[in-house]
Amino acid sequence: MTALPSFGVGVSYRSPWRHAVRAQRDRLGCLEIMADDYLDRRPERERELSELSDLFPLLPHAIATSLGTDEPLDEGRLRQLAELVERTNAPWASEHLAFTHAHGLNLGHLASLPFSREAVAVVVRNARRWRSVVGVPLLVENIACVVPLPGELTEAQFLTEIVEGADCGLLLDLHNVHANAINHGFDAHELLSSLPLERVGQIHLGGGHDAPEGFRMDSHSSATPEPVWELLGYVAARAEVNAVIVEWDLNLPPFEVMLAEVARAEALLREASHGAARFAGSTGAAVR
Amino acid sequence: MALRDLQAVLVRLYADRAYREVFFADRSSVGAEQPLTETERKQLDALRRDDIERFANALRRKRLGPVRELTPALARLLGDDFDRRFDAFCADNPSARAPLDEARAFLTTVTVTSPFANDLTVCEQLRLEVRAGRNARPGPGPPAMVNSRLRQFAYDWARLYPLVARGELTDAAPESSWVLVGKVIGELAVKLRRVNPTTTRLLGLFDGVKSSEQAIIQVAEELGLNEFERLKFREEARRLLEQLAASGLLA
Repeated sequence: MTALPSFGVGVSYRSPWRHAVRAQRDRLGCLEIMADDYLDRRPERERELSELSDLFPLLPHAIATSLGTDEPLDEGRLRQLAELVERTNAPWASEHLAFTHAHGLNLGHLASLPFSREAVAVVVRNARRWRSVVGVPLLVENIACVVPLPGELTEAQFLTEIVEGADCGLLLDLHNVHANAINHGFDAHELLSSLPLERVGQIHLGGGHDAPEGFRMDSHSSATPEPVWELLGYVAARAEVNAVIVEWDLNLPPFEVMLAEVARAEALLREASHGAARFAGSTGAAVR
Repeated sequence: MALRDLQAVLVRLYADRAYREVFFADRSSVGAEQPLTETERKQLDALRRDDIERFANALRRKRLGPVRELTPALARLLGDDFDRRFDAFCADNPSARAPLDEARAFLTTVTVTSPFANDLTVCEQLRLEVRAGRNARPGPGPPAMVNSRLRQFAYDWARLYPLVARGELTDAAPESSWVLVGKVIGELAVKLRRVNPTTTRLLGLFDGVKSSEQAIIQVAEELGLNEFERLKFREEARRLLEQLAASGLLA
């Protein structure tokens, strides 16, 4: 088990915020970067990356590795990820528990897996391969499930068997937990209480929107809703988290809005840890 | 049903509207080529059409978002029609591509009758072509238009493009213009700059073979400048070229 460093609270970086993050560097503990944007090493992206890595600890977050596809991973992509990790000196990288392509058809986004032992075995096999090529700890993220698929496990069992089987950490997306709880009728706190929270290395905060029929969509298009803040308090009181990232993709707000979310998360974490310097650069012990 | 087989069905259900129609009209049509076990049949029967349609819509929106961002003026000008056209594009192209490739492929399918929208479509295509370039740095050899393109448009897009992108303009009087479409070094954005006929002629000579000095002399001769005018022109042209090279538009 390798202890990972702690970085406090940051945002998931988007290019329109290039100048804002530089100007507000003291108010951000770290930045998450969308790994897929930097893999092909385009000069303008390399320059952006170099600027950012001079200012912040960078946490690469990928979308299209497709850990859940029952096929071998794309080795070229894994090598590109390894190079990105090396260029940014990243302490870990993350990917989703999903599949994005299969049988030559690319969905371009995250499709859910059945909560089955067979899917666990596929992800564990792929996550181990990922780890052996990329070379840093992997955190896997729970996704918002729009299409529930039959399986013999609960979501908590599914997540637990994967992180334990692959010996990796969990990137816990709390809005996804919230959305799944609404959409599939379970208690979010109950799910969290069944997870190995000691394996949570990073947390995602963010908002979505309500689609027709009350379906909660994880669109990253609004501020973090109150129930998600409550979930953060619940997790923070029970686990040491190495980084918290606020996400926003659609209709980007003024950067001050992001900073307000960051500040609220920091305050909540301080409160949860009873004033202990959990996020003051201390070393967490949660993630492999 | 093995995960591999289930995923083969799911990706088509999510991305292929025609397949979805066939599946929900008659679920037994799936697996006809290889008989399914009772368990496998149950897995497919458990899929709810509402869920699949919701996810398919979400996927289309996920594909649409970056394409709208990459072509902001045309997306704004066409409004809902842009989205409808993109839906049709997705129906014909169920497999998603990288956003820039997706946007370029989509624009090749956009046909519009209005001269204003048509010229803007060409401008958007050129912006994406430049953006997709490798952004070469200026080298020691003769200059070349590597990071930029020069094109004559029916409208002055250097002036009009931002107005259309902000939704402040939906039509304008034609104004034939040469526009330099280029990517500034180290920047992600593509910039548009209107250039006069003399600059157009000068830049048109940069084929990677002629030196800048040779190009300047040639244009000065074509313009029939006297000695004093030539000196002035040379000075101005050099300043412009330095400026373009510094920003990476001329490499």
